[in-house]
Amino acid sequence: MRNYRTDKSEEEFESADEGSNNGWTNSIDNNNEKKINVNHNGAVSENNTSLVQITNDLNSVQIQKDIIKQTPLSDTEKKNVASASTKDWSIWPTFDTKTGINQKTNDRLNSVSLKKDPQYQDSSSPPSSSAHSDNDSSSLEEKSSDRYLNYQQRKKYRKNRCDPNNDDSESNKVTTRPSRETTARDDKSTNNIKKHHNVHEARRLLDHLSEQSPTRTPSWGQSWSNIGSFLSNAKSTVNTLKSSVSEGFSAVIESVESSLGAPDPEQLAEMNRMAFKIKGETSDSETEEPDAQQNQQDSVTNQGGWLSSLSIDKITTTGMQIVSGSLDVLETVGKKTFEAINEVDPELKGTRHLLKGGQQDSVTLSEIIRETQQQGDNNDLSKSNHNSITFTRLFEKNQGLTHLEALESLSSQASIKVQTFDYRNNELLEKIAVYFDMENDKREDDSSNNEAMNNIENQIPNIDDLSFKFTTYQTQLRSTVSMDKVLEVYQSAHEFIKEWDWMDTALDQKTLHDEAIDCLAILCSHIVEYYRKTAELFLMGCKSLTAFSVDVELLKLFQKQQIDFTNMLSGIPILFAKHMKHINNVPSNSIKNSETPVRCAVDYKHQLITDLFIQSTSSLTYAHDAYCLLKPVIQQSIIYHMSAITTLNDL
Amino acid sequence: MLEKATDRSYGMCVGKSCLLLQFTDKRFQPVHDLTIGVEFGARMITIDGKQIKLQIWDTVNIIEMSFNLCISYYRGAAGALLVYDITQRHTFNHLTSWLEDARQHSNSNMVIMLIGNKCDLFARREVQKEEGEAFAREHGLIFMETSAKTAANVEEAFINTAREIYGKIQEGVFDPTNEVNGIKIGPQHANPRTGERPSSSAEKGGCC
Repeated sequence: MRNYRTDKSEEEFESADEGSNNGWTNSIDNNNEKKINVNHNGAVSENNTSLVQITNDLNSVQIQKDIIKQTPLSDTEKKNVASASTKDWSIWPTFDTKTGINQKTNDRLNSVSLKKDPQYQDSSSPPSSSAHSDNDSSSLEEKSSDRYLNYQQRKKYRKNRCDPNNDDSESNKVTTRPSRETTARDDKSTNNIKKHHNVHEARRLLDHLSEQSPTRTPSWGQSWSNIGSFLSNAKSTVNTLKSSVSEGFSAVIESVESSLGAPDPEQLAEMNRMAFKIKGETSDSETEEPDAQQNQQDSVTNQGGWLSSLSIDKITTTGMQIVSGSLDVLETVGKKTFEAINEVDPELKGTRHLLKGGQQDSVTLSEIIRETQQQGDNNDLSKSNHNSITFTRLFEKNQGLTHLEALESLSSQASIKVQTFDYRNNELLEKIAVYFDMENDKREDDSSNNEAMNNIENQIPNIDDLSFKFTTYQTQLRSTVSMDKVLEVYQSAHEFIKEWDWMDTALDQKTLHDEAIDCLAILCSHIVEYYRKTAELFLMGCKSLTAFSVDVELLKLFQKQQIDFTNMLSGIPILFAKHMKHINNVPSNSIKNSETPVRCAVDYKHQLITDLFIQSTSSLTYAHDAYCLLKPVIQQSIIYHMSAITTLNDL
Repeated sequence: MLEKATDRSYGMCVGKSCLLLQFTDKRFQPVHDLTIGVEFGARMITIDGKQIKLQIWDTVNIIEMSFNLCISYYRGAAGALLVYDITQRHTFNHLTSWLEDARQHSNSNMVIMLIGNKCDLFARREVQKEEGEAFAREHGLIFMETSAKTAANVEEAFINTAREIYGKIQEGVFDPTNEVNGIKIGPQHANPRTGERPSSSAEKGGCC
């Protein structure tokens, strides 16, 4: 595929221009051009310009070195720059029309809401004759091709700066360039050549390298073709990046040469290959190909092999800088690409369509992720079907999360209101907030109830006590929100234990455990519901003075009530755990009349009890969160009533 | 999919809670406690092979409801059912003001379905079907006449609303990853084939 394309571009190039001095660079550009043209032309070339800027920075190190070492050559360098630009202009007609055509194809595609167009797909390799025949380009096309021209020029300029001797050696290279690597290697080898000014040696080296290259083509090329048309513009930018970073690597080589004496070309080739593998790995990681990983491992071991014999520090630090630099460049390229695409196509409809059309036979990252997620989901599902009775699931099932969500939205609305209030109310707000800070009370509780806590019975609140307390709170608060549901659940939990003669079997223990969590979930959901309704009551009370509200002093009742809720929630697991432990004795008594009841394994029982307590903590958290969410609502209500009363008094 | 619903006012019931009960429990309860604040109902439905949980918020009438509650509850809704009673003309007359409020406080993309409830009581009909249709056309709503008592069109009303929301998700109008819209990609559930399980929240608006 790749070779085919290169050949094609070569033909085109040769037909267009016989001055093959810049042959290989041009063919690369042709390649790039083709790829770029697949997607939005102008945008991507803009991208490339910025990329070139970045990579130029990367190259500046090298260029400086070049200048230092080869001051006599700087004249030729300049010449080359000048000559390259003129040469470029002689080639432009070819590029111009081609860009125009492709741009047109794109435009047409856009206009027909990006229907799948066979011509569009073929546009990556259009017959050169038609490319020349079509010559009318709109102003828009000209603009984009201008931009592209600019980019090409800059690119060529950079290339020429990198190898000032290309006039001497380039003519030999046109024949062999199976992959991008070779060009990079050529690039580097020209650096070698320019030292010796020996054309013959250059030829020998090149031949040597070109012999090696086919066997050394690493798998990144294949993996790229596997990706298919996945953002081919990204591909082109990455390709450009690759060549530029390889130039960065040749800078390292230069410095190594100067300090340690030149290593032989084979080692250099090895190093370059390594560089490609590393880069291939970073860019190919999306495809998650195992052989890519293997490649990296290979390259790492190679690194240890010959690098250790050289000055490791120098190479590794510079190498790391370049690799990390190249990653930065990749990131910038990605961001820029997204921006560019977004500019042209804000809703990404076109791009999506493109991706959809092109991806029919290739696997994409998102598909892989989705599949993995589905597998994970299936696993979770099968697991959950077996044994997971989680509090959160039951809490959601009992609408607890919905109540909490509603309470949250009320609370956030109220807190926005509270923030707009006069700062004079700050004192009052803090006074109210104290009642919602449960941490202080817990400490008090701990110290005062320490003895009582030792007795397990005291940790399980009595139902009658609770119902009496709640009735008192309600009358004092004048609240119309019913507490019955909360008490009902608590009572049913107690009854559940009594209504059956539980055995110490795994089944019974599990049933008790599940029931305890179910009770917790229902109780917690009712508590959250209670708070939600209370919040609604307060907010509805903000409509008129006669409506519901409370005095600051009465907030103590809410605090007490919350403590009772907490005790209830922590009482349930204690109650069940106590019972689960207690029924330990039951089967031992019945063992004489039947051998069937299999005792529950102690480990399993402990596991169940531990799980129960762990799950109960989340219920406490939910209840506490709900209570805290009430704070801004009450603050709003109290301040509304206070200010309303003072204005009345003023009147 | 979550569907919040507004239901019923004090004293003048158009049957929002009854509609919800019919949809979630498939039963009709003629005598109903008055809704205070908001009640919830949920039901799983399947659209295009995807399991969707409709979470319906059954709220009090918007006129009775405090402004504070109104903005809080209507903000995170993906759709709403706006219910009037075909036997009470004034419930129909309130629609305009309700619609204004709803559009003001909610997501502009919210799917709104207009429902003329109690169509079993055709003998006492005060609002003609054509009037409802005209109103819906004028304001870009979907229209349907239902009966919570006979369960006529109840399923269709909820499911069509859900379908409309689902369509908007597909079009990219609603972003299911953004919970502000009231749509949530649910946790893994019974449908391994699709993986995507959008939940959306729709509000059922009651008007009387």
